[in-house]
Amino acid sequence: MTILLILVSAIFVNNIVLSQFLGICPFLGVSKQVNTAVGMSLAVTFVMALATCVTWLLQYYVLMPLNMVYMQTVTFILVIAGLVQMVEIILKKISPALYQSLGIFLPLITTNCAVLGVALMVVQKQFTFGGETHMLNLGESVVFAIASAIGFGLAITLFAAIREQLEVSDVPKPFKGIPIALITAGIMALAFMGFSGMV
Amino acid sequence: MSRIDLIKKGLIKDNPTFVLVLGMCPTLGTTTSALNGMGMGLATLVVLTLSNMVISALAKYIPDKVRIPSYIVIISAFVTIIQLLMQAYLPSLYETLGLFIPLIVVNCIVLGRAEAFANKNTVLDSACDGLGIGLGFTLSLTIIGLVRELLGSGSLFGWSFTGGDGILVFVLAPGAFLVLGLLMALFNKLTQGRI
Amino acid sequence: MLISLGAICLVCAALLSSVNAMTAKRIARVQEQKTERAIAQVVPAFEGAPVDTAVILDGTEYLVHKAMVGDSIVGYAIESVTTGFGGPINLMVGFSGDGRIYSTAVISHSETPGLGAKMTDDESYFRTQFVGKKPSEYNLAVSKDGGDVDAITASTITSRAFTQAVAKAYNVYLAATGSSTDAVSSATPQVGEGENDE
Repeated sequence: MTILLILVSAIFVNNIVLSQFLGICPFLGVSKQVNTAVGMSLAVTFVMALATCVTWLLQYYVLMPLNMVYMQTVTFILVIAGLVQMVEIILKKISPALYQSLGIFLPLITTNCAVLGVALMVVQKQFTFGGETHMLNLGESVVFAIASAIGFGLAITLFAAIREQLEVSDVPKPFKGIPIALITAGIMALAFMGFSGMV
Repeated sequence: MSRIDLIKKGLIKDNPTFVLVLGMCPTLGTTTSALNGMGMGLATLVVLTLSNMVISALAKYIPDKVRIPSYIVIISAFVTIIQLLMQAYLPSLYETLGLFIPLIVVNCIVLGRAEAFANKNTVLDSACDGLGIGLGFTLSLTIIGLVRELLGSGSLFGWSFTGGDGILVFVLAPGAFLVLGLLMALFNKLTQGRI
Repeated sequence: MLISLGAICLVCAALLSSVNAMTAKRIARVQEQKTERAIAQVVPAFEGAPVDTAVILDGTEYLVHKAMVGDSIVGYAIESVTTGFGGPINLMVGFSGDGRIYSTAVISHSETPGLGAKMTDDESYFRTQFVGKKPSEYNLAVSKDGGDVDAITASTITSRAFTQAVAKAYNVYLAATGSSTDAVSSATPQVGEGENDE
């Protein structure tokens, strides 16, 4: 039940892109075509789940016992950068085909603030899934990370589908490119607001 | 290019928000009011200027292969310092900006300037560059915050003249995208052919 | 190569730990002040520091801050948390010695600006309607649920959560003062029975 709540909440109600404003750069940058958008979302899901798992363990078993929570930002970003690098190397060795399709997105993910954002969120914020307010445990954190990434994927894929259409429509000159994309995103955010209050 | 020009170019010609379209997350996430936007802009300005200076000073000692991780460590150290200082001296602003303060680390503007400017220029030039881009970022965020606050809650810099009523959607998430999109179009229209 | 990266890491770590050492006390103080201010806001004027006691109710530990003048207790401030529209709402609820709500203060929340966030306005009707009410005679539920509390327009979920937080705090107050027979349900509030003059 809690898992279902986390999924609905992170995918629809508090969509990471459209209501939390995380991961806007790839949202605007890699959303011109549906298939690249899908590739990016898969890569983000993988890295986000892995990074959240590692940083959660780091927070509760290293930083907190050592009283070094102030090193949070530094260590988390280094872990994420390292993980991305490692995933890239492993992927290249094990599955060149997958590397071909996802590889180009990996270096971009280090500076995707959604990854660091989710890693920080699960160790800083209290959540209210399942009634009582509490900090998420490891399992819930990973589910939350995966759900957030699915939310990211949903938003970016829908957005890419709309932008493919926008490419061929006649947009007033000052609105060409990013401005019309932002306004489209605004209308999508408006639609997603319909989900608010559900969880 | 003189140092004054370095500072000036960040405001319009290389404006990080409207021209370079960088650092969109804090731009959308923290501009619910003019003061919040300005606070976020200033925090980024401080990190950007300091990290630019340190990176330009250390650039020749850092081997090329570990360049990016080193920059990230330096930037995140400054971000954490700002974070701790804000927590201690500006707790209410820190609470409103929340997660976006640690996320300055992954703001592409900061790493972007380190890579594009600071590692091949002098310390003083890099400081001016950081200051200029930082001011441009602060200016954009303040303007976006101003428009959203004015329309959304009917006030200016916290001074309310409609009793707190406004068109709510501009303070909420969709308003951020709409206002930024419209302002960007306006900016394009005004600067067309001139930059 | 690794030496220079290691050196940078070490210098940064040293720098951060010294900045942390400089600011840690002040950050802790800021947190304390926040609680102190909230307590001062919700109980009658008192002397010295409030006396804190822990009360365990339904498996959750609550801190009850007793405001004293001399040897007598003039008020109780209790922090309670409920789930609002956008996340947890942390509320400080103050009771005067006779079991009336003295005042309330919102410590933290993540409600929608312009809608649910209106509950932070101390002067608003929504907030002042609680002042002076005795939860045992006053149905702590929003009018939509058959209670006596008028909700903030278009923010029923926030108003409901706020009201529940007050009811929860009241039950803690009763437990702290040892008169739990008057407990009001914080889930589906009903009219309490009897008096509780402590």
